[in-house]
Amino acid sequence: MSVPVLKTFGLTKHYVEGALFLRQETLAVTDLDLEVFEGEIFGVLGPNGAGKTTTLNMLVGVVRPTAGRIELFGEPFVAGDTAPFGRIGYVPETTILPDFCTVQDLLFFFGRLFGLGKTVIRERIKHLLEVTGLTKERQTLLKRLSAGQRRQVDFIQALVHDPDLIILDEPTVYLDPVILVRLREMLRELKKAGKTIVISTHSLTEIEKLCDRVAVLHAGRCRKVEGRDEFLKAGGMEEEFMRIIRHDG
Amino acid sequence: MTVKVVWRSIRVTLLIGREVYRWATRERMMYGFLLLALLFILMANVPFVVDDPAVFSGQTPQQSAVHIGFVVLHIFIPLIAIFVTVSVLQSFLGRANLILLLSKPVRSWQVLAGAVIGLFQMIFLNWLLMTAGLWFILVSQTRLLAAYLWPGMSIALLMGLLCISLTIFFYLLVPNAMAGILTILMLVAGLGGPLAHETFLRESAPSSFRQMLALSTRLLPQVNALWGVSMARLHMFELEIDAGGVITETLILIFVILVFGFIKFQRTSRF
Repeated sequence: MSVPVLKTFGLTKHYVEGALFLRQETLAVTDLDLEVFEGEIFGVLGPNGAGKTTTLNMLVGVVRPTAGRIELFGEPFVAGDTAPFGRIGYVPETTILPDFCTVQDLLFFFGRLFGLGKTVIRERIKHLLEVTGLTKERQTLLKRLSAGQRRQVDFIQALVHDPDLIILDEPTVYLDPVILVRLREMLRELKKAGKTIVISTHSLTEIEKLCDRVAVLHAGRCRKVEGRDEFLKAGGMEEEFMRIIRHDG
Repeated sequence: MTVKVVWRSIRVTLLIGREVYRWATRERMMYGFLLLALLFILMANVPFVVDDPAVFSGQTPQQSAVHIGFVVLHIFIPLIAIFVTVSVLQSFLGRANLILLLSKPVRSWQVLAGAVIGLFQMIFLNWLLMTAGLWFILVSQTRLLAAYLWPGMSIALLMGLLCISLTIFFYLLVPNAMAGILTILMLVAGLGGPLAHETFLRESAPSSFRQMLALSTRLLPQVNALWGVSMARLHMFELEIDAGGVITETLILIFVILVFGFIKFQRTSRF
């Protein structure tokens, strides 16, 4: 756990809406410095509106930072550069998957976007569906899937190209306890395989059970970055999280 | 290396195009319009059944059938293009889908180019079915090949592409159904274009202002000009019209609209 896969330096995002007198500026993320190391599971924890999603969207180049810079895999990440995306798998907070597609068709489409060959994609899809327990749903239309199963498809699309860095934004939403346990096991397996995982969530349980290190975000600022064990020693994840939030007012 | 990069870009764009085509051909609205258009095209049989030139303003049944087909294609192709484009863009260029696509090795211009390609494929399918329907009626009724029908009706395809480009452009400015309404208003405004053009040139307004207005009214009535070309090619009227010039102008217009669209999308797609 020594090589930083991801680094941010003073990452800032201000959303500006309206013009002239109606101009409204919202500070989403301010001066964020993060460092995520190879092979770790890094949690981004924070209440609603803390800037978690904006941060992750900046990391995958979907949101342009107002200031600051990002380094991915030791290289500066320049806006418009799509090369690092071949090594990143991203599960956004919400997705609108086309209802008319089957699970396999959709995953095939994403695999092709990464320039993978048909045989490779087929094998990857087969493996990932087996791991997630969705093999039976391979030819099922997405509209026939439950919300939890669709969330799993979101997760699989991010892994279809076997990325080195996996970024998950609220991946546990809609998942039932059985799938949740399976997802945790899968993430641990990915970690064992040397993958780096960044996970943003509200769930303190997920953070406690999965993450090696945690960054607490509140009101767009990073309040604390520490190992999970340090959080636990300081009185438990919940107590420590609430203490930080109350301290900020 | 460069060839490989270019080929990869094209392949990704075509992949997205195919996906957009699938989104578009799943639109129930498209099938509604298509069904209605095909029913109207079936009416091209009527002149042959009646077979009385007096009923159809002295036209032969074949001419009347072509007239019916002309009206159906030149109304339904733009309508399908506008409505399906708005509907597809609302989901395809929605924030959630855009985030998902742009977090892959996909550039924003590829997303928009894919949308144009997919929608054009969709309109081509509709045009093909409608023209084939009309052609089949003509051939079965007259026992003549009626090959002129295809180049004549191909102008409707160009109109479809013009409507798609305009709708995409407006959608990038106003990302809701208003984009479709603006396109329709633009086309309707174009009907009065030639008259306005003449008026602006005659008025005693400042020269630069007049020139600007004249230019805008020159661009607006592109649909009128396209109709003219189509009519001439279908031998509907004896029209003296520079078909090549109108087609080139339309293609340039489509190109310019799309370039503006791409610039706008490039700036706004990454939030």
